[in-house]
Amino acid sequence: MDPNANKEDVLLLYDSKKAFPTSNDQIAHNAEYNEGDIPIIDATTATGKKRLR
Amino acid sequence: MKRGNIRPPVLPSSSIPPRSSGNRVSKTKPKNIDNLSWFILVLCLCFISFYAGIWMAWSISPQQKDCNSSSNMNPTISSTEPLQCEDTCLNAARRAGSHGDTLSKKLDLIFEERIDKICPGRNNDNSSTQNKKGSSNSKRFAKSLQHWIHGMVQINRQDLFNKFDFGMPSKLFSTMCLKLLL
Repeated sequence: MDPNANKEDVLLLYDSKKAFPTSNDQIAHNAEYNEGDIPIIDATTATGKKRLR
Repeated sequence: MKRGNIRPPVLPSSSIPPRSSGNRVSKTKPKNIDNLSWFILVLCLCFISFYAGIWMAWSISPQQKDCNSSSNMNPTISSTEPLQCEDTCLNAARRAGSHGDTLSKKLDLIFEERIDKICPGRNNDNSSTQNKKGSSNSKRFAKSLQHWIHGMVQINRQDLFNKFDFGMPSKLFSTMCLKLLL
């Protein structure tokens, strides 16, 4: 269990490689490959979209 | 005249006086010695040929090696040499403990070296395939799941609900401990 993870964290699953975060290649790699803990990122980086409100 | 008194003419050879008995003895004695020496010679030849045959058979037959010696672990043994001490090696390998492990590791090394000699480019191919396999095996999701899921990240729930409006109050889930699947 990642010590940085919180109890109420959300797991975001990507159904396509095109949906991976493009801002950081390392995060995209860690999201796809099991080479460590699941990357904990903010919602903006995870979706690559701007805040709606 | 009496016919019986008439002697036949004597041949000239018969007039030669007979040889002395000393000469006869000297001729018969060497004959006996020759026979004895021939017999001894044949006996010796039989003896020598018998042991020469035994020695030849001994030299041709494969010699038993000492299976406990370390020379058998030499990886430079020619491949044409028949496998010696097979039972000893197998029994040692079957034995539990460090000896069996050591033997199996040595055998692995020997076979690796031999295979490398036969197929020099095998390691490069293996490493490339292992890299490919490693990358495919180290994926978070199995191949059976990759038609709908490729990756996963973790986001703080409050951050996600602050940035995206999913149409329901986020506090409700935290108080009621509900699970939300989007």
